[in-house]
Amino acid sequence: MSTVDSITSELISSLAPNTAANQNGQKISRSGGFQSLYVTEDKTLIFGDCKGSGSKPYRTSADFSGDAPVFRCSCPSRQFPCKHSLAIMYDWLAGKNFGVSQIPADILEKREKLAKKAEKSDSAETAEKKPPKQNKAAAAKKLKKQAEGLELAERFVNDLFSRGISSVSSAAAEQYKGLAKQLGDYYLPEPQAIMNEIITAAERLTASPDDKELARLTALCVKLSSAVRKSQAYIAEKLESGEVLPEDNILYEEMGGVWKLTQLKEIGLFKENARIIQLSFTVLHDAIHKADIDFAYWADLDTGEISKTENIRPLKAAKYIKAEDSLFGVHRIKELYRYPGGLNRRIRWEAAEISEAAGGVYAELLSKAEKSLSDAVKKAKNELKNTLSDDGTALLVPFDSIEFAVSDNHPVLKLGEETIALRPNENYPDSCNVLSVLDGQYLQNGALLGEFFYSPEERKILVCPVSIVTKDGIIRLC
Amino acid sequence: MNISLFYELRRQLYSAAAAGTAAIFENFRLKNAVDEFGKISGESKVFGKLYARCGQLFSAENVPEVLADCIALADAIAKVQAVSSDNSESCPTDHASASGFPENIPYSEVHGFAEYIGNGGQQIIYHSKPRKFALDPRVLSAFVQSLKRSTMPDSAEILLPLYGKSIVPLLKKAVDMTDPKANGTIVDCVKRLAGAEENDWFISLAENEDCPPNVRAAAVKALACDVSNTERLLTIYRTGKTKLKNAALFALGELNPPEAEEIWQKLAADYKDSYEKFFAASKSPVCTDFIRRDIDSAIYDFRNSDNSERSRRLFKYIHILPNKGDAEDIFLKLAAADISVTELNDILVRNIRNNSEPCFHQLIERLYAQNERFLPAKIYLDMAENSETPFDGLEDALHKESDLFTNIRYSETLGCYLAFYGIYYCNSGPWLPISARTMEKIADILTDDGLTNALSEMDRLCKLPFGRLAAAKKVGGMGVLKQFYVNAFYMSNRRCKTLMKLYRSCSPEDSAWLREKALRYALGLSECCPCPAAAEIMLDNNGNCPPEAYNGLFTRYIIYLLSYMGSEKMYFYVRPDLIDKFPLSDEQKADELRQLIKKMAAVRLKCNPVHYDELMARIKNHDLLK
Repeated sequence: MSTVDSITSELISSLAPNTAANQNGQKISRSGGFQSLYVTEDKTLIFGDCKGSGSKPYRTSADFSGDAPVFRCSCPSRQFPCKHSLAIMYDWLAGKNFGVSQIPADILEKREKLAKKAEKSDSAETAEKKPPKQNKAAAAKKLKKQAEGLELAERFVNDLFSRGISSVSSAAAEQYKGLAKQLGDYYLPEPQAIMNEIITAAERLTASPDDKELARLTALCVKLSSAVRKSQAYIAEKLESGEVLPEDNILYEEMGGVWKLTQLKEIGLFKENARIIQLSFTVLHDAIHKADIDFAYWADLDTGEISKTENIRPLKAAKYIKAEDSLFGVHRIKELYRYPGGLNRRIRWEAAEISEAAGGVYAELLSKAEKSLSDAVKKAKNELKNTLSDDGTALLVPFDSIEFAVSDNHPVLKLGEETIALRPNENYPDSCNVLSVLDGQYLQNGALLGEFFYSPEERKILVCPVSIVTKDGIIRLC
Repeated sequence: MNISLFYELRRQLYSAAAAGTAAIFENFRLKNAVDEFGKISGESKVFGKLYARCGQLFSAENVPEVLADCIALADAIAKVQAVSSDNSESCPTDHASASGFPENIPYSEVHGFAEYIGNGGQQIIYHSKPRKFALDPRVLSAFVQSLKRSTMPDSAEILLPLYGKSIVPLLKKAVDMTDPKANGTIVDCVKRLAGAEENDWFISLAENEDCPPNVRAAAVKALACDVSNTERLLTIYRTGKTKLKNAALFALGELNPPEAEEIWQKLAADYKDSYEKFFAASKSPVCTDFIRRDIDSAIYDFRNSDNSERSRRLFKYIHILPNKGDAEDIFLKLAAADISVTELNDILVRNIRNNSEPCFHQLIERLYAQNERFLPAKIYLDMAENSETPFDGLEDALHKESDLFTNIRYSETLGCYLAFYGIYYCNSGPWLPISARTMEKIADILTDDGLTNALSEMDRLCKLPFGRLAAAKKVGGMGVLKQFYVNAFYMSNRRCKTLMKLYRSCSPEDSAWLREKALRYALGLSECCPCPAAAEIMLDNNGNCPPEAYNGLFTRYIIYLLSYMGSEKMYFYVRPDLIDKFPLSDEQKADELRQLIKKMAAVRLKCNPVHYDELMARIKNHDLLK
């Protein structure tokens, strides 16, 4: 059981269904929207009446008596928690005058109901719970179907290479689109999405040639070709061995499979009692999937592993999906699920306890940075050379200093005798500019979270700066 | 090992993918590249593997698959082969931030603010916490980048004073000497922040022939920061190319050395419209004399001529009036003729913002002593000088028994100034120093009840038999009566917007009383001059607003607009969705809409039928009436 004293602005932001609701909550609080405000003696509940657009004021409460806060409001909003619930928490945070009161009868009643329900589910959980049965026959059938689909995709890539990527006629494009559409029948959404992107880009390229775009498109075709053949081999092996259920392999996702947390847990891809902290947050646009991605890098405070979270918001459904934002505290997570992958695995969790990141946390984080630049480069190269890996690999590298080149002012990271150039990439186009306006003191003896990437033009491994970690905190460059 | 052979092979593989594998047997470049690569294929295992695979390109059945393999392998090798060290000569940054460790500001907020900067920064003027955001490195970076892209953006008005001299080294580094199209905005900013302290830098740029032309011109302009540059500027003016010559003329105008008199006299003798910007920048008495010589006839033409060209002549003179500390008589003549008083005040305020000479301060003092219509400039001056009494005498001016228009005019102009210049409540901040009483006084001015009293009086008169005539007589005639209501509406709306801005940007301890005052004012207006901004204040402070205040408000607002506003302008202010925000039940809202439809019919003849019909249709189609 926690109390309302655990309310922080970060907690409110993380609970808000979207930024607009959060801002509206702040607005109500600032404008003194609550006519009355009460807190119970045990400080587990705050409640009050808020003037709204209805004829009667809304009765709003935030109940912290359980494991997770419960919000109740008589307003008709479908958002949860609504702006009034957020506003009452902001009022508490602002130190407004809350009268002490008994717990209202209706809330007591609801609490009892909730307790009974929790008891019931606890008892159901403690009773021998059978793991959800996985239908092997269905999985095998699906794999066979996918194998058929992969043949189509293979035909597409081969045909494209045969005709030439830079000369896709409109007739060929139409033919390819038909092929891509067919792929939808074979449980292969990911190759289908890549195919669609290739077709659109190839059409664009034929109309207006561009060397950089051509190189990107070729790489995309090579990636698809590689994914198809690896997936074919993976499926063949699975069908042969009879072990048809998903395992710790990125190919499941490459084919468009979606992991359930229970599946991840079953194959051991989870960590108990993890402590993580967000190092960066940005919103990326994914042209292939026509979606915005709330993308964040996280550091495991125990192991130093750099992971990522991706909240994918398809543009079509953007307004129904809660957008995420930067988070600043230390997250204590009972069960942290990790997706198959390389150096930067995707992670997810269901509930987290957030506490303020005290000074010691950053020192701890600094101690978890890579030991040398050459080690980091080696790790990055190993990751990047895999055709199916992302174009960038994030690592936390220590530095003695970050300086700026006399010739063109580009930043250079220095660690002992080792140096590496810092450059912006597509995901963080302004981060080097931000670095150049930082106070010099933060560019000494810290650690840099950077995306290592390969620049074909310079034939070099470069680092795109993302965040700076100092003993006092994290400076986000995006 | 000649690694370039490998990169050539990789390049040819990509070309083959672009051209297609159908005719790969005829691709001799690729074949040559493979053959050449064969020379180093024994150097490592992966090279050998790549060579072997490339060999299959000309013999295998499934060439596309082999090509994809070769590219994948070549890419992997390229990444492994890539070097990582950077031996460029480098030096640490000397930038020291004025603020401490950057605050934790969420991405969504910073991104929104940086986007404002990217869009020119107009919205920043209305942002509630510019200081907090401006100090974030991501915002500073966006600001510096915006300076590279455009001429002085609006955001600079707010952000430059916030950053102060601390960003000068940063700005100097940000000038891109390699880009021939680089603009001179950064140099302008450095001049504004550091002035003569950076004279050597300006000289070095001005004398550097390899410097991008716009940057060089800006540097020449910046030489106005130091009187010792006079000779240098005269030389540039006499020998430089057009861009530099013009820049030097600007600088000479600003410096106003006696040696340049001759130049101004020559230009005045053969005045062309293209000289306007130079004359506007010049402090030379020759330019003032140039205006003085013709101002009476220009005023006369403006008043009497039917020829638009002749009547516009006056505005040409007004446009070159800035920076003239000796133009007292001209200002007085224009004010007496009631011409562009707002613009005149604007010029006076800009004079003291852009120049440090005491003559500009004295000019305002003298002007205000002779004509109280220069009150806005006087208040601004007093605030700039940190006087404890910038508003003394103002209340008298507002409440004295003069005609109703005067009350409106004074308040309106001042309200505009407050909004335009964004006088934030920040005693320690970099904006104009504001005395402890400032906020109270500004709030007093903005909420003064001269207008509401006048409107009530007019309403009272209009209800009497022949009262409309009496009301018209009070404001100067029947034709002016309608204008009175129009002015009242604009002014009320502007005042309310300014009030909102004030209570949103003020310190927390002042927020409550300011909100209370604004709400009281808005409630007063809701009866006699219901403007949208007043309704927004009510909604913004809903907790303290009596619910009954919303009854009939929407009807009054629409009827007022229909009755008094010109059709086009009315259309701009009509917001049929406003009622949706009111804290009334759906039933009450529907009732009000029905009442409104009835009342609208009564004022139909007063407005544009097209707009009337459209508005009527929108109201009738409101969801609540379906």
